[in-house]
Amino acid sequence: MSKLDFHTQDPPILEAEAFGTLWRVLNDFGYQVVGPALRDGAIRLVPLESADDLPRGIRDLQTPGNYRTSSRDDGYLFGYSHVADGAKRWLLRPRTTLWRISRRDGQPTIEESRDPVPKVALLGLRACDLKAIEILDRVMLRESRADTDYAECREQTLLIAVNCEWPSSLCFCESMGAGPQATGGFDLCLTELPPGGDRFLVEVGSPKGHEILSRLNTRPATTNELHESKKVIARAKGSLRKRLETRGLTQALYSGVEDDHWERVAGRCFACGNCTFSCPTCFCCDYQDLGEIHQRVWDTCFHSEFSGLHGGAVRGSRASKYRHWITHKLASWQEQFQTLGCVGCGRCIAWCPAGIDLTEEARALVGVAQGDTK
Amino acid sequence: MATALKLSTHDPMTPRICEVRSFRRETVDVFTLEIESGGIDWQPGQFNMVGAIGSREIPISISGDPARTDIWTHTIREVGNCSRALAHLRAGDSVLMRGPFGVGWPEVEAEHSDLLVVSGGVGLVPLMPTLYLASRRPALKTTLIYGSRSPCDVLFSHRLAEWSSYPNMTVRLTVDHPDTDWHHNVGLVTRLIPTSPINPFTTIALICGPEVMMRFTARELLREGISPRSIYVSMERNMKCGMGLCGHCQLRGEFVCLSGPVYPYDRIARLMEIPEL
Repeated sequence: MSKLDFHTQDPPILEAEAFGTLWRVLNDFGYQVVGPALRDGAIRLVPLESADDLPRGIRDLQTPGNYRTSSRDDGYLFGYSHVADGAKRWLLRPRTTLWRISRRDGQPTIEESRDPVPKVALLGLRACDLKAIEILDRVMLRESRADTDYAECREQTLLIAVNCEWPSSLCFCESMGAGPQATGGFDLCLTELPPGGDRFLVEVGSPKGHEILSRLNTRPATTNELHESKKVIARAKGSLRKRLETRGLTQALYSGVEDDHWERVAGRCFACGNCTFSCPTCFCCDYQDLGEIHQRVWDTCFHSEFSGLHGGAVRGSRASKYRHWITHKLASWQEQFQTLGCVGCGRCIAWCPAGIDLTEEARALVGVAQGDTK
Repeated sequence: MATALKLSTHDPMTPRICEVRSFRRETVDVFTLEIESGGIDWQPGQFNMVGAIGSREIPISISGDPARTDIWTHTIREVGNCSRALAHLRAGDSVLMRGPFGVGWPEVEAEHSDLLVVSGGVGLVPLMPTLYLASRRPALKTTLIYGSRSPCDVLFSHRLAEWSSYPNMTVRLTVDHPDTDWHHNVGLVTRLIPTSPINPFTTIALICGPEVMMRFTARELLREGISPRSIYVSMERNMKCGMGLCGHCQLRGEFVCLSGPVYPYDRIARLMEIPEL
């Protein structure tokens, strides 16, 4: 089958039993399935033994500074907005060994000694997660200076999306052109049809995805099912309440750089870095030596050491740190990677202990900028 | 979805182990290491990530004569654990090297311009390779204005004395705290600019020193009529990966390790004015 053929056919239906065989098929291809499950009070992306591990009948509730799960009265397997920790930790690993130094015949020697790269199928990715991976690819895989560990993880990862039907109150993916519908960047994409848990419409996005689908028991979708799949996505789109107006944002952030608004944000910000760790695109890393091992570890621009020079930190105040973070996400990222660094997932809002809402901060800055021109 | 990306055989994040050829003390807290380079090409103004084994690596400008292609020369001030660990290295020791990284100074050999170099403290270090090249341009004038804290902090004083005897080179020294033997200038480098014979239309100015010094020097040069496009500054930020991957050295949209450390002043002037950017 040529590369294009799978796009021209109507997507088939995968029923509950066949969906359960996905694990065996993926294992046959050498993939470990990593998908959503309830862990530590949150829906997280973790290794799954079978479909029984999925968070059936569980939803998430997100508000600024708050994340809770609760049960829902139906059988949806993917009946939540998105996993609390995105795909980032499986691609840009939080801590990974780059090399190791030892002595051989009295002479120091360096070996590139990487942690084993697991071959994983990430299941349940939302459109915002796919967009985040697309952005991370731009950051980490630039020609001639790619991050080797990221490239290897990426190479070994299969992406199985599930269209988002249940955005949280903090989601604004549509404003960022990221969702809620997955339109590409996946190997397979499922849409869970009502009443949940028993039928999935399957789209294929790559030859690999096609190969896997051909090993699963599917049947053609009825006209009604195709209609249903469109309806659930339209409903998700309609339920998005939050927006971020990106027009004029870069200008507003740049021209408001010395506004006293930043001091007001700083009054609430703890500079804890939760926003950067929960963000699916924040990529900043530090390098640490532990004995003979040299590792790459996640870092955050909210720590003073991040910008530290021998005379002190370039950005010492909380105001300057928050300003750097949001300006990078919503303005200077564009200069660097020809895309913004935000996918509208709202994680930074939910996981901020002070509930600082970047859409509101951005709006306030745009307000300042417009005030200037009046 | 898999990505199609070819990785180079040597990961630029993995250092090479190189041999120290010599250690030389320059001043009480500044020293120079000569390190075998394996003949790798570099440009004046670029930097290497240099680390003693068992200690973190730090960004250090290359300070040697570009005519010597077999060694990296690194002149380092002892200010923290990493630079102090490097100060313990002697000939025959091993050192971890990655680089060179970044964009350096404009090529003075290709330019038909006079050169004005203004530097403060260890800010002279990244300018030395360019000064070596400039000293070999008999038809073009080079002026060096160099400020130090005190006479005993003046770096490369023998080399500077030699250059000051060249007809094409003018060396003007100044210190903040003179001693009784000091017969040069006293005060800020900016004060020497109005009294230096500069033709603003034929001069390229290179500045390296503390950021505040670079800002005031650039302003003074603009006042002299030099175009902002003919002024270059070298920015100091917390470079770690050298490849724009780790994010530490960002200055708004710039990865200083990648698009810098040397910038034309007109590109960076606005950003230099904003505190804590």
